Amino acid sequence: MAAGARPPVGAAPPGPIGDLSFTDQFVQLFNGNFHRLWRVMDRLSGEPELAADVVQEAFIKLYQRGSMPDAPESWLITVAMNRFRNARTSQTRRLRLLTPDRAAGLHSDAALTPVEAADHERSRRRVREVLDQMPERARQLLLLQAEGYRYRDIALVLELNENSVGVLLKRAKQTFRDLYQRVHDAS
Amino acid sequence: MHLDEESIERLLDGALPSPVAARAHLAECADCRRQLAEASRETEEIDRLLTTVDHPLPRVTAEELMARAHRPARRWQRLAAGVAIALGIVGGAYAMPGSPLPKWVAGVIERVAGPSAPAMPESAPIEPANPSSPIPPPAPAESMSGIAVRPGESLLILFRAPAGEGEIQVSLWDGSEVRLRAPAGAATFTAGAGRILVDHPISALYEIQIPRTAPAVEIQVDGRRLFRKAGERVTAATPAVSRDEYILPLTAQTP
Repeated sequence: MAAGARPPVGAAPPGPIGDLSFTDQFVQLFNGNFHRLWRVMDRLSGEPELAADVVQEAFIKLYQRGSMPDAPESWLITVAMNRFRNARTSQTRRLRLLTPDRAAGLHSDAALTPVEAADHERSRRRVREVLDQMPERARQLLLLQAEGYRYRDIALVLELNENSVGVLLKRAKQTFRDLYQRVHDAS
Repeated sequence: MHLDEESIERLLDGALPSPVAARAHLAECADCRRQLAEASRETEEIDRLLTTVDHPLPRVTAEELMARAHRPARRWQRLAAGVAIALGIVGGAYAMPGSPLPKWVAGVIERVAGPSAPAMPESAPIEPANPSSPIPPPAPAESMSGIAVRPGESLLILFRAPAGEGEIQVSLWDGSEVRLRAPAGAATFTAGAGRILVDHPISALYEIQIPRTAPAVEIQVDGRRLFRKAGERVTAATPAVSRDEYILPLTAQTP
């Protein structure tokens, strides 16, 4: 999926994995979830390498587990978020899974004209500032929904009542919009 | 009655369980149509703004990660020259008439490593795997060692002086024993009355299964309580990753 394209809303990407072998289930889950989970973590952190690390580690952890949990998507999100939290709070050296080539690939920007690049950079800074200012749960909620995660998975991961996910999303969007307006006016 | 905020968001996200009634209402209600359109515009605008912070997608394949997932086991197997499981149960206490220990200690599980895969240097870059050569799933049971005890009234599992960063995967199960497993050679286990000591655990994944019926089980790392089950109530340092499953960080205490 191209960067920025919104996934089908409310979709359940991996689909039924009933009689598949564990390896096939894993590959199917990876294909349906790696990039969108990476995008959530990338937007959450602003650090693409860190996002790639924690998402890869979550998938490795799932593979080493040897069996699928009840809700694989929410399991992966929770493990990735736990690892992200640990990485942010720990001063210890973390396992780096990216090769230098791959890390370089993360930063290769598409060609933009100087004016486009300046506009893009202004927007990027504003959005980054807004995301950093948002309350953690609202930010996670917004980013998970933007990647099409199901309400049930969002509720599981963020320990919310599933019946109130929609209202909380509405509030998170309002918070984002208000903060963006404030940052925009101040700049 | 108009659609509430929850219904509008769910309708927008395709998450409304039975949208027929909502759509029928929308066909007749201009206010709700306007609210839905506004919510849709707001979502599209936020989605557009969010893309400005996106970076190019990383190039990673499932096969690479599966290959990577096998590495720790190989390292553990190299370290497993001497499987060290010590049951430090005081013999006298164990043999004493009326002692609860014989009942408490249910058994020891030990499985010795199976056939090992070819070693790979720790610093080797990830090489794309050949898709035509399927990588078998990990076979943890063959290279694991462990201990199983009855939880009694209260059980403390204490990890002492970790020698690296690992993880403790805790799950509740329907059995009657507390089971602790780790890669062979990853640590020394010592079981005593009401507690299990795990000494000098290296970077590895430690698995603990706790009976749902256990009255009180606590897991500590260097005196820090990371998990506690008291009756049906569970408190953990990290949120559950799945129903009745937790992954706790095993790290040395920072000074």
